[in-house]
Amino acid sequence: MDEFKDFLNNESVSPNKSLDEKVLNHVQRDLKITPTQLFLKIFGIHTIVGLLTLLFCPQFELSLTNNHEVFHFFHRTFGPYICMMICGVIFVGTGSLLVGGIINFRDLSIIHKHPFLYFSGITGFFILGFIIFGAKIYLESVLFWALGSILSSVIFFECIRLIRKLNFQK
Amino acid sequence: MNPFKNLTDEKLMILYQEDEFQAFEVLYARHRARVFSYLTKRLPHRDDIEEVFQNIFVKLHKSRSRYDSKYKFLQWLYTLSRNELLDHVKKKNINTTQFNEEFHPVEERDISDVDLDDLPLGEQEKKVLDLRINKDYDYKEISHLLNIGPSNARKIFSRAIEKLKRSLYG
Repeated sequence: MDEFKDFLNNESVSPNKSLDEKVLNHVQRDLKITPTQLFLKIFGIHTIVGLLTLLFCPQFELSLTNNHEVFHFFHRTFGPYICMMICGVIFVGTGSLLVGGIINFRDLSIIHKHPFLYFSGITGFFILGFIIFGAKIYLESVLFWALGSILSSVIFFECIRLIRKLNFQK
Repeated sequence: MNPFKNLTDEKLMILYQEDEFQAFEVLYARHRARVFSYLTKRLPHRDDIEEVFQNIFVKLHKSRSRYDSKYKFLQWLYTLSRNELLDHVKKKNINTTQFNEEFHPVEERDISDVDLDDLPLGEQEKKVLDLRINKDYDYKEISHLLNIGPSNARKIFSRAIEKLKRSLYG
């Protein structure tokens, strides 16, 4: 007990600067994540979620189930451009909700510094993927799709980040 | 400026568990002198102090996921520091008499739970151990009570600690 009290109250000697650097560098090196690693991590999450949404919402006429009901409903109700935006929201935006909810605080703060960059990159890679898999892509529709995808991703991500931050501060 | 500098240790640990380096920086800055002072009082050589100091923070880093924020961080850090110190003493077979007389980490290890009668100690050694540890007498008082010289009391105590250490550690 006395030893613990001594531990609490005694701060008379400090380590030297080189020892501080050794410890801090060791921890920093171990915790570091490169932007590429982080990008691949969130791209992986987005891909899984995106593929799941293909079960009920086709993208550029690509579908895993040939179920086009949701697409026709949005197309009929909101017109072609808004429909494409909603498709972008469903395919990429929902992934951002999950990303914001499950990645750790370090990754949240890294993405928070450049959210448009990260989600534009994700969107760009998905468009490339659709082209490779033979989707029918037109410039106008893809622009609206990308707009819906990027904006929703940034908004969803920031909302979830804020909720987690407020929850943490409680 | 570090955004986490006003958070409690326990909150910082949660962030650190989520790989946030800046949280570790604050924790390190807050407690580095405490850990270093603790070791300085107990280890005679600078090299040993620095080695154990580094080991403590490496261990803290590796086992951060096992920390439960329900418990006080300082208590956890103290236990970690103490165990690391004891491991070092055991590994390097450092003679306890080299320590500052007031702080023998080995002698304080669960000594109150040890039945002195079960130990392979002489009667006088048991008496000195009991007076020094359980009754907290200094060597002058012990020498007066047992009618021996203070330096002799100190020697008997050191010998008893050696025996006790061998008995506890094998």
